[in-house]
Amino acid sequence: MKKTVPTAAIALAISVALAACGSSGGSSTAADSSGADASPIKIALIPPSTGALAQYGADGVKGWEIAAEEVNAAGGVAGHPVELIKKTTDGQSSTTLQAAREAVTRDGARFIGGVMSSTEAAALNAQLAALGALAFNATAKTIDLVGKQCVANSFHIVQTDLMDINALAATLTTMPGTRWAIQAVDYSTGHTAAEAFTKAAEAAGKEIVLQQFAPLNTTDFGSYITKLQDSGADALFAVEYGADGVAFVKQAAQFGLSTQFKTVLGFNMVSEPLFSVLGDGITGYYNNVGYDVSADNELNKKFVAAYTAKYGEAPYYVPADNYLAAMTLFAGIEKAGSIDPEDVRDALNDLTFDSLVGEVTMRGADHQLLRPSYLGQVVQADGGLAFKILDSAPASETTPTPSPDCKL
Amino acid sequence: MTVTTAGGVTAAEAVPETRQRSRRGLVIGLGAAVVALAAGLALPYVADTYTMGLAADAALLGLPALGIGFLARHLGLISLGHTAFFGSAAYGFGIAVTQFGWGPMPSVMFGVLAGTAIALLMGVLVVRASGMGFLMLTLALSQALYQLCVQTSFRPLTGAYDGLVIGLGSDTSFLGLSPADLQDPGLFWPVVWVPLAVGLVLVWLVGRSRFGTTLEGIRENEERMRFSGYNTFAPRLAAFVLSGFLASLGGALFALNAAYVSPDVLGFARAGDSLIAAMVGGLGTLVGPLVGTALYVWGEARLNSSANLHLYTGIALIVVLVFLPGGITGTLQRLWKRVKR
Repeated sequence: MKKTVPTAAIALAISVALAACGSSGGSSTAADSSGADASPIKIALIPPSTGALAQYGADGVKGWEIAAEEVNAAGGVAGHPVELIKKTTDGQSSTTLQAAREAVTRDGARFIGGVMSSTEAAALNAQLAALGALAFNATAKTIDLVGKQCVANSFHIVQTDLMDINALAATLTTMPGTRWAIQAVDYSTGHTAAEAFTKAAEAAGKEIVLQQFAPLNTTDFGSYITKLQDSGADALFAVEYGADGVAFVKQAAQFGLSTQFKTVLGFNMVSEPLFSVLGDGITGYYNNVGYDVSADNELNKKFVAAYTAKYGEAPYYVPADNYLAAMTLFAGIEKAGSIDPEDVRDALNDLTFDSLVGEVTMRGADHQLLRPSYLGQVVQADGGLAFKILDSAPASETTPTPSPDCKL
Repeated sequence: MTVTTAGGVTAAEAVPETRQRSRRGLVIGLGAAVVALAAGLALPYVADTYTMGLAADAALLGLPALGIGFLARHLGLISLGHTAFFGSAAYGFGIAVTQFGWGPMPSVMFGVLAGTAIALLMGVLVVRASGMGFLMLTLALSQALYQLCVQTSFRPLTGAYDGLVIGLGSDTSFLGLSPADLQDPGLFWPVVWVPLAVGLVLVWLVGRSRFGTTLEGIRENEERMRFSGYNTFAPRLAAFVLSGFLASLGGALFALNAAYVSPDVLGFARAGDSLIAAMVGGLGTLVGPLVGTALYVWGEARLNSSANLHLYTGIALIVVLVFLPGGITGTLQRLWKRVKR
């Protein structure tokens, strides 16, 4: 033992010294890449690789991969090939920021995608100007990201909560049940959704009898379910996503909640990759649908075919929205004729282009992409469960005017 | 057990042998500090932006680590509560900016003051305890603060789980740095390096002073100190508040740099990580916690793929506890002595 102490210490000291060399030495890779003609478009992807949202993180990257392969096969965007720089995070904003800084300062990335949660996106927004990079947000839905947290270098591709709620408000009157309970995740997404839903429900003549919030990564919903049972509600609005959504739906089934509710309206809760895990019990559930996989246009058909061929399953909103984020970036680069982030940013303002969800516009005032939202219902189809699109609402009906808090 | 090991290493180190030698030590120490300060300030000229980002992160987390090390070395108290001061100061800064509309400088002061005030309040409650009791009390109180911060009713103030985006007005400045400059690690570096270096000297001087000797007496045998007529509560409280002040300084500057605070900064994981980092570096020496924190920040950046960081921190902790008592710096110190002999 006595002899091992100095040996181990020396070994450790040497490794520390080597580590220090490693971190200061390899700095030359961050060369400026915007000059030459065919310089690559470097895009950093920073999805969570662990925790409740890991599956979505991996699927988001797939959307970017399809987009990159497609344009690279066609000779790149405005002559520039696309290079994806893949990082991962544990979902904590500090880790995400560190990965973003590394991607930008060491790997030369000028564009960032795949960042998952609203907290990470907000933290990243605060740093984008200093990093000199643009971010394309395809999953974090909180309206604050185009409100008080908006920044010029960030573009919001996914619909905000409010857009999706507004899309289902019209159908709310026809849904069975008058006494509604709200079960939501304790994040801004959950709070904005609950608030907007309450307004829409009251306008439709419904009553809200219970509203409760559970932190993200909750695994035991027992106490929440008991309160739902005691509330006397006959309809449920649930905002629980990822692994939380699975845990909630499964535990609710064990407690026999489905017999209590005439309607279960999920918000970002039920999605295609979870169908097999959730089982047939969710047949009849309503849920907002961000992306219609069967949309009848050429760009969508091409995306669905490419995605299905590569990954053996049809895409859903996470890969589709990330693909749309890539399309948005590429449209900006095409128009700017440059891969300099500032030029691309300016080109994207109020840019209208054709996409897999139809014609869309990047609103210059708050950087929200104007696109339709859908309401779907889970039905039994040939290959198992699927979404049937009940209603679609154009952006002109769903999107609130730009927030006065957002000054770009 | 670690407590006594860490303390045992230093007892022999910190007590000066003669006054003359002490004076010479003071001059050498201050000289070394000035050299280190200047060398640190030159760092942005040789390191790239990425390395500077890591260095700034390490220095920001180094301030609370310095506080943790000070308490452990001079009082044998192991704290899991320093995230509370770090986090309160960060939130204090954020609230001053977003709610009161203050500029960056008064907001930093407010943050530091808020964190230090919490240290004072908490100190009154916990410094009478020792060992495991102290550890658990600091943990409990800091977790209470975390729970308070994520309460739904505090959303307008703290943003709860969403965190708080701290948008400094573009016309404001902090010591001549614009909000954009503050996020450039090279420009921000002096803002954190100078306080860290000064804090290091402060802790060193306090440790050498009469007050430091009193603290060590309390650490070794609190009862005997009381019987000898010493008030043992006030020195312990003062040491705790000083340690909390250092953590608060780190927290306020962290929020200034990040422009965003989330409840992570108050979480248990962060508390455990900073303590483990300090132990790996070595609680028994002045710079040990800083070395550990720098290693931790490096590991967070380099080894965190697939969120495996805790695997590595766990292995590092086991290696240190089994093979390197006294941490990395403690072991190097022992080796150095053996070489000299």
